[in-house]
Amino acid sequence: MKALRRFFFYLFLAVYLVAAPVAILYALGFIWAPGSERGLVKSGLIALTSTPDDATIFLGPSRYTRRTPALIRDLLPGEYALRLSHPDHDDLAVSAHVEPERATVLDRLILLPAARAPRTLADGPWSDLLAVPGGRLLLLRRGDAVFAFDARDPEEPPRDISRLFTARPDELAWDRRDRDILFARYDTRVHRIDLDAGAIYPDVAPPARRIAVYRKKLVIEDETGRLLRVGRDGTSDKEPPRVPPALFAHGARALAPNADETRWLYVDGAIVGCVEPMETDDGDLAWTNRVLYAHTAPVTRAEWAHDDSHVLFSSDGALWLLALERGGGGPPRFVCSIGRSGAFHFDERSGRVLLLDPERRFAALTLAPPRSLIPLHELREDAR
Amino acid sequence: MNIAYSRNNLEGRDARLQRALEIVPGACSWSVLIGMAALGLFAPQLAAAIVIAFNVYWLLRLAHSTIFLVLSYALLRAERKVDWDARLASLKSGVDPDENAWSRWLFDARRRWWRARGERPLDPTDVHHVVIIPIAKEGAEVVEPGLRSLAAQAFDRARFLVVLAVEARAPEEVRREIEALLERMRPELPDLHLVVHPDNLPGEARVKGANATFAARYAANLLRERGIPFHRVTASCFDADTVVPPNYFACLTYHFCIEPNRSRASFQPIPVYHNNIWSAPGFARVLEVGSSLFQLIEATNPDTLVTFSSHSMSFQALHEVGYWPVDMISDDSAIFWKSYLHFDGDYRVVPMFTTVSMDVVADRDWALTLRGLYKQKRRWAWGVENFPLILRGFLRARRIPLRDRFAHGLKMFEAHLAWTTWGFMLTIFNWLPALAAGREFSHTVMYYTAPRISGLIFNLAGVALVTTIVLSQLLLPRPPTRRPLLLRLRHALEWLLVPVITLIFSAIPALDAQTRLMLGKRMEFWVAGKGR
Repeated sequence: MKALRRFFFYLFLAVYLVAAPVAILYALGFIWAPGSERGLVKSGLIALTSTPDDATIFLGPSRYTRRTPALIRDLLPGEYALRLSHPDHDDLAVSAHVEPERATVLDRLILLPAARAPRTLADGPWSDLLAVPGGRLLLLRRGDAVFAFDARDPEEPPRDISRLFTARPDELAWDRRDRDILFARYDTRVHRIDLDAGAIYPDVAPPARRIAVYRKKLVIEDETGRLLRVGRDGTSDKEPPRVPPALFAHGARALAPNADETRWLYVDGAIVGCVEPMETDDGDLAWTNRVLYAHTAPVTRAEWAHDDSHVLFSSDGALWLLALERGGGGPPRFVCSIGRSGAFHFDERSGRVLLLDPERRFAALTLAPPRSLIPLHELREDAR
Repeated sequence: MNIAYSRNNLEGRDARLQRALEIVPGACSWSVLIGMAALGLFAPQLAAAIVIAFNVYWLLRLAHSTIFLVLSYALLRAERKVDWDARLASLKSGVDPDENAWSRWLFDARRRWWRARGERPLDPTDVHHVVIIPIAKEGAEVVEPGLRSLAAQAFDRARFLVVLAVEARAPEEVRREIEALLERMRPELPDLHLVVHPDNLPGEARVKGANATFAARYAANLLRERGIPFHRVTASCFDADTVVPPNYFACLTYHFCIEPNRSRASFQPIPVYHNNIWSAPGFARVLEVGSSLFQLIEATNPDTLVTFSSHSMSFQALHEVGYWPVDMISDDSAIFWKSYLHFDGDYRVVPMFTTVSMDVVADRDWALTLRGLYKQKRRWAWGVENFPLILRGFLRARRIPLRDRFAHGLKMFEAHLAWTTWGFMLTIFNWLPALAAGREFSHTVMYYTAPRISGLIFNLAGVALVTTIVLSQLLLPRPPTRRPLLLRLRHALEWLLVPVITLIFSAIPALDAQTRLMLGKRMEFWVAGKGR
């Protein structure tokens, strides 16, 4: 027994001394490249997921053995041309730069459906579509009439809520987590509107020049130009709210937060940009501004899509899909024609774009399959 | 070598060394855990590499253990068929027993040894047995099955001296029950004694070892009065719930007789927890079966085997070393180390491939059982109290070969470190680098490859798990139900609890025990709730 134990001890020790370093080196990306010149080299990999998944992957001219989602391992550093192909979808070509020991993450590459005619949900003509990015409440306008629509319930026709507006409001704002509460500004007066109860609560804030909702709180710019955060009882905080400056510069609806509200999209002429908060050394909040894309024509509206991997924007009667670096990069792709108002809304959970088409009908286009799992941040929001 | 196997009454350098060594296991465990957590958060790539190295090590250790578990189980199975009485007869008559078993092979080797010296093994009819059963608060319902198993021994009962060692602080009701039990059992066990261990004797802590020592001294006096030499006597210290198989003492006598250096040896059966195994909660069942399987593996390595739980030893050795430590909780392992140091390393544990059965911790309800199990495992882990004593002894024990000191010291250190850290490594630190990954780490090859390697390793470890499940089924008694298959299937599924159990009932209590030792807090013996 002693000899047997000793035999196995030395055997396993030898195995360990070989297996552990090999496993670690492999995990770090080292591979044994064939050929006398190569030897042990550092490799990289491409992590690839697509929407829809199960897309065929072409690496250069060769078809890869696996379909998306896939890890393409053991790649020598360099540029790789990838093409994804899926039945009934446009092919997507992307380029990936592979570095040693690094993973190039191409996450949620969207393959656009080959047939992209929006389905009419409600005949028009509608004059405008108002939405808060990430929310499920949409407002449709026809003249002075206002209709509410639930983005997650396309079979339910738009509900007329015109009686809740005493006149045509100068500005409307609401929180994306809240589908029942609206704030309407009439000149300097701010009313709260409870859609569920069908009630109007007048003058819920001091006189305001502009309004917005930031993290469930009403934020106003008062007549002296100060920013104030207003509570439900109409009182305002003493400290000025730490809101992105662009919140008012570009208007609440033009400023689209991502799911966890760490980045905001804005549009400024032909520019689609992004602002991000950053804590400075002295504890203040600074806002960094980054241009994501400069279009050839003025951009009307922009929204994050597909977990911030893409941006949808409307410009000059067309809806475009811009893949950011994580989503594969490249020039924007044409999605479909859209009404001149450029009004649209992307609902992450259903994967649909809701828009006013060129004939000003309210229509929907499915860009991605519905989510089978509800993202955690949405669960948290629902819980609130 | 004469060494005070106690942490008490030390002075000067010894006291400082003892205290420093008490800190070592806990400090190392915490260093590993905190270090891995910090690396997982701040240097995830390095943490992931360490985790891979650990996983490969763990897999190989698991494979190694599984091989010897299977081998050990095969030995146990073969040894169960042995007619120990025939073996004992063969020792006297010289006629070979015709079984084919491990002990036969061992016997042949021993016989060659005896023949080479021109001697014969000890005559089995000269062997006496002292059985000490310390009782703190266990009632007659717990103790009686064990006594009945002693009464059922085929071995000559006239050579049994059984001492029920009851604590003076035991509840009055328990004492009355034990006294009544004594009267009931005396016709079957004529040499059955009751000894009441006074509370608060000088130098003693409230531990089982103090009670057992008091009883052993009582037995020694009786043996002296009767003129029975200690070197022909075995001492068995059994937990109150220990039930032995009918041939246990025949098996022990056989091993005692053929062991050339029997006065420098302990005899370790495989402890199993079958008394109430099918009525205990699933997690307790898995835990205790796991303990039995661990002892099976340990039994294949006599060089580093240490006594555990109910076991037997030479009474001569017990007397020479001054009996069990009276101020330590882990009396079972402490008596081995005390003997090992006392005899300058000339002391060993002889594995016996037979079982002794005890109770699984099972209290009135789940919560109490959970608490009881946790405390029991912490008490077992408190065996780490031996570490500073042994190392202090090893520093002085020049007559013990350096290699042996190193092997024992390293094994003990590694065992206690593994006890506290493996559970955390396998259940938390394996995933921490990926879970806490920032953008930098999540864009590395390691981020994607490490979980795949770990996954592969865990899949391979599944082979060991399946083997363990099969062996546990073979080891367990038949379920007392009309649908035994269902219960067995349930038990197989219970093994899926292993990751949780490993963390909650192994790593955390062990860390608790080491931290207490590190901080200089002491523990007293706590009697687990056992019910049937």
